[in-house]
Amino acid sequence: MKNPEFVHFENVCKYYNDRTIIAADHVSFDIAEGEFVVIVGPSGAGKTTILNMLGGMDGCDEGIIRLGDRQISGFNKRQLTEYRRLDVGFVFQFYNLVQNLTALENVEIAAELCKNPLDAAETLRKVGLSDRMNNFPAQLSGGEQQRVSIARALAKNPQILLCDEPTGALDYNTGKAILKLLWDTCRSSEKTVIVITHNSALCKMADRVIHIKNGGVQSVEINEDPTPAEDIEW
Amino acid sequence: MKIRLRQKISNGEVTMKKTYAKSIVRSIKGTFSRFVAIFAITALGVGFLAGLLSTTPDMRRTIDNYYDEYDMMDIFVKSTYGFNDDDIEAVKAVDGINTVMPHYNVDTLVTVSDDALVARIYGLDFDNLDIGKMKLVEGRYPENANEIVAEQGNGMFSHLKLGEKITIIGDTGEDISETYTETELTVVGIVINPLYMSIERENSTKGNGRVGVMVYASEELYKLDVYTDLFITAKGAKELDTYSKKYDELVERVTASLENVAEVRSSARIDEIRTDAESELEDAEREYNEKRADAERELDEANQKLIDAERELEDGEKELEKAQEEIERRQNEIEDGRKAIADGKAEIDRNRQTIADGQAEIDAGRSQLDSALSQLNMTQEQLNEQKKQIEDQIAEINAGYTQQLETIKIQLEAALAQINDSLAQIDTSRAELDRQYEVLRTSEAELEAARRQLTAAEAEIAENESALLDGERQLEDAQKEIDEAKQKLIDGRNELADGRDEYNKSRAEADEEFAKAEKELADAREEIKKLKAPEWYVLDRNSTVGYVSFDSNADKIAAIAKIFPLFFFLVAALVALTTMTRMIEEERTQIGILKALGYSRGAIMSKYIIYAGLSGLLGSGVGLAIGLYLFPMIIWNAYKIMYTFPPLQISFIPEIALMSAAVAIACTLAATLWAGAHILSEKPATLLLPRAPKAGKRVLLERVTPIWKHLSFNQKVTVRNLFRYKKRFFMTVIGIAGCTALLVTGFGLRDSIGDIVNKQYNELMQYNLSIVKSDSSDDITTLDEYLNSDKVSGFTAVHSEYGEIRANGESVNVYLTIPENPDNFTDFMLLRNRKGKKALEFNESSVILSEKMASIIKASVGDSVELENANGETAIFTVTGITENYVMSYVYLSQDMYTSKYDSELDFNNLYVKSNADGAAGEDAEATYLLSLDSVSSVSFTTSMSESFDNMLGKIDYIVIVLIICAGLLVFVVLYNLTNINIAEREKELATIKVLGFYDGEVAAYVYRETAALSAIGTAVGLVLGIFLHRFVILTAEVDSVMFGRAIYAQSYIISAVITLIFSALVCLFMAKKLRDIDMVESMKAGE
Repeated sequence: MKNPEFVHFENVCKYYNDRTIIAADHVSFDIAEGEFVVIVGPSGAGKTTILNMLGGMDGCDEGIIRLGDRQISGFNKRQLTEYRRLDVGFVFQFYNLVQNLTALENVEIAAELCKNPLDAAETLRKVGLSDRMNNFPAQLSGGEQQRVSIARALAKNPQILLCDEPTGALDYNTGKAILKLLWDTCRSSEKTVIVITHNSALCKMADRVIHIKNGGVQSVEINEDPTPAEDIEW
Repeated sequence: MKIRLRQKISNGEVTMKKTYAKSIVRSIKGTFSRFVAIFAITALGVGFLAGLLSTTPDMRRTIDNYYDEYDMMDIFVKSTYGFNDDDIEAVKAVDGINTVMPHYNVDTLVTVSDDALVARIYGLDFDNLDIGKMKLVEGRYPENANEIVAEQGNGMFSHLKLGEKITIIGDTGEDISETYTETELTVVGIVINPLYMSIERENSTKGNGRVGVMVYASEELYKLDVYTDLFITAKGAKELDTYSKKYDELVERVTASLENVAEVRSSARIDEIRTDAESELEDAEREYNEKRADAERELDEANQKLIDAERELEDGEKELEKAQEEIERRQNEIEDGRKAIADGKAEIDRNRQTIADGQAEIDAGRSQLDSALSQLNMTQEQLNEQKKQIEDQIAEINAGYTQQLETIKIQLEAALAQINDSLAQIDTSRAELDRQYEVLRTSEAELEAARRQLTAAEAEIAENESALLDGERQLEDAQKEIDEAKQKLIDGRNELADGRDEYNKSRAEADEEFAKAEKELADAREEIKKLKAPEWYVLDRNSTVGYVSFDSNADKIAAIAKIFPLFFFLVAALVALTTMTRMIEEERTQIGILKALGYSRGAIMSKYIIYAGLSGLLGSGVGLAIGLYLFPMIIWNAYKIMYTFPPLQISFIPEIALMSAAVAIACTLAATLWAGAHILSEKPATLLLPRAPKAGKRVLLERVTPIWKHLSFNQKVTVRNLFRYKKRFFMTVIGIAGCTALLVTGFGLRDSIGDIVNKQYNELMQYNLSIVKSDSSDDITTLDEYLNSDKVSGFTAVHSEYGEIRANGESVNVYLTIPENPDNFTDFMLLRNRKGKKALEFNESSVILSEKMASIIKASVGDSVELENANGETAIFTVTGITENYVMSYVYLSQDMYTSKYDSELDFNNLYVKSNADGAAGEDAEATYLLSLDSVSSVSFTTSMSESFDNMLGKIDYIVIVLIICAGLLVFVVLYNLTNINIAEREKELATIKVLGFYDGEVAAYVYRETAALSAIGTAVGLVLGIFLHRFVILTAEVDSVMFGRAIYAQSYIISAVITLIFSALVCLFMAKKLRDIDMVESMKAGE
């Protein structure tokens, strides 16, 4: 029923500086549809490279990347943009909200891009910001901003939700709340959520954990019984 | 505080220096585009200011050197009587005179390949051309009287080629051989004379009123005994700058001295001339008197002859009368004779009758006698027979019958006795008869005598008759003669009458002629009395068209140079401000660290001061290097359309350069200090924290929900951003507005100058030809015929004189125009309000002022103005209207108004004509024709007047191009800087929206929507600003006698806006790559 190879990386390589730096070295993994995945590794292990390729911000030099039944590798710039636009929801470490737009507008601006967006206000309500919709980012706390950021990603109704260190800029409790939101979202909307982090404590809540080291996949573990976000600690 | 600050800097100087230098160099490298922005705008501002400021002095100096090089005259003197040797000597003796060069300068008509033109022919001594040298472009100078060099054709003068010939034809009736030794002149060289560097028209009093060819011949061409012109240079003038006050003063001093000499010489010359004239007059009078006496004598003689003839005629008539009488007498005589003859004849006839009667009586008597005789004879015979018979019978009887017979014998004897008795009786009768015969014979003789007598009488009568006939014939002849004589007398009479008439006529003619001659003499006498002293016109360079127009053009540039660069400096300051603000904000943390480390504010600030200062300094340098060369060159070349002059001499004027650079650098530094002031006052701890992003803010527009709701998010972001970054907003808006304003000004200038021609000559002046009539009325009918021909579709007469109008302490020279016919005047000269285009009525009480003049004297409708007419009479008038007018100043007065205030007489000798002449050739022909009439003193077609304004238009095109380039640069620098800062500051935001899936176009639109909005606002502001700038420029550039159009046409606004927006679009295109290159990885980075 669920596609076990919803996201498929096969021997993906990425080089920089004329191949002198190997950022991704034959990376291969699969992610099933609707899974909550954590990609974890120390700084400089190649997480961001994988994120970039997965998020359509960068192409790969070798190998195959697939999302659903579409092959992402080999997309041109335009196709990559379209892929980002329609299929990827991105949650940034630093929220990256447009300062000049209210919370609602920040969600709407993303929603406007897609064909089947979710209702922006509804989405915001879902992330718990029904009272803050008309506030500007500067008037929101970090956690609230991250919720807006998540709502913005969700509103696009994407195939996958990519989160780059979503708790990195947040305090412990807020971070946990955000993780819970992401986990709940994954479960309730059956969205594939991929969290990229250096914080291995998060691995416990994941359905699948992909360990990255030195530009390659060190190991992939499947968590049959993930711990709910509120129970994990770091 | 200050001292401490400085100490800190100096303390740390040595150690800081190296690091700081490195840090600055790194900053420049890292933010090169910003550095370039400050650099470029400074360069633009400094270049513009210094360039424009030094253009005027550069232009003036170039012309000064040009004049010096060719020894251009400082003063030239013209005299109505020319200059004789005494005059020249007197001029030479004037203090301050360097050189005097007398020469000839006469305008005359010539033909050049069949075209009749006015030529100004100088007669120069080429071997001693001390003043007014020329540049020989081609060929050589004249060596003979029939050779000339021609001024290079530059649009105003016809271009003559080497070898081309011109033929002097002179005015109609002018004896050109009195003036010139040669009439056919050959061009042997082409020259450029600095005196005629302008292409503005040179006026002439000859031909069509415009010098067509300018040529220089040798002195030998002229036969005149006085020089017509003097060129003079003043001592020490060459060393002075011709456009300087000192030069003016020097020349003025010499001019004043010359004017004194002029007065002296003028009165000397007039005395001379008057004496000459008087002696000439005396001669003329003498001649007249002689001639008159001769004529009188001749007339008297003629009269005498007439009288003699009369007397002769009378004599003849008298004689004739006598002859007539004689004839009549003779005729009477003849008549008498004729009567006598008739009587004689009658008598003869009577006599003849008598004779005839006598004859008849005689004849009857004779025949009676004869019959009696024959009866007698017969009876006798009978008797004799009877006797015989009786005797026989007797005898017989005797024989026979004597008894019986005796009875018969007795009877017979009785019968015989009876017969014998009868015979006796017969004998008696015969005797009687014989006697009677005798009587008859006597009668007959008598009758014969009478007959003879009659015959004689008849002969006599015949003789008399023939004599009479002769007499008659003679008489007839005499009569004929007399008749002939009579005819002759009648003829003589007629002739005499004719003679008398003729005499009377001659007399009258002679009298008339005498009167005329006397009047002429009287006039001449009067003229001598009135004879004006020779007028010397002592003129300086200010009286030459080129010199003055060049000076005023240079002045205009100087005026404009003061305002235009203002924009650039304002924008430069704003560019520096935004750039440095951004830079300081970027380096906020670094500043915080430095502050925390204990660096003084001054030390920290010095980096930015050096950064901005360096960029300003470099910009100034480059700006000066380019601007000082470029702007004078561009303007000079623009003016080259109007002037023939040497290459521009560009000079470095330290004051201008330093001032421009100092102002520019001061602007950037002030902006830098301002930008730094805020951040430096913050505590290091605050600075070390990442700066809270500038909060989003609701703008006023959001309160207007209906509009706000309809905006897309992108548009909302744009609107909010616009109000978020105020410095950038102002920088961009002012920069773009400056661009648009420059363009509006440029195109508006074109409109304004175009309007002069369009409105003045096409809309307001409904006539296209102005004729000034002369005093002569010789061929006035020809002129009338022309005016009423189909060559003209209407005309009206006006009186025109020069006057001065005064009000509010200002005065302006004006033309007083008084229409002869107020009703149709506005058909020829449209009078209307400029605003509203409402036509003004012209009636008996009108006093209408032209607009520009009214504004100078600050007079409006209902105000009182003082008006002085040509005769110096002054009167106060109330203004009834102000009319749109672009060229010259006019007061339109009704005849009633004029005559009610002035005593001067009106003379409607100025004609406004709607001519149907077609094209330049047609107008030229018509002008030439009209000027050939004695009754026409001057002619001008409005087309020729509008020409010089068209030339101005060409010049403006160049300025428009310069403005477009500058405006483009301005837009480029401003938008380049804006976009750079926008991209740098919002790199993360842009990277984020890229990650969100914005296409490149959408990303560009996201940024450029703001640029577009700013451009639109800037353009809108610029359109308004342009109106003011344009107004300023035209008011500066305008001279008193010309009003530029005030309106800018819609298309000029449109073009200006479109060009501005195109420039914006170009900058956006240019910056598009930079947007594409934004790395999405930026979005992952921490906030700034």
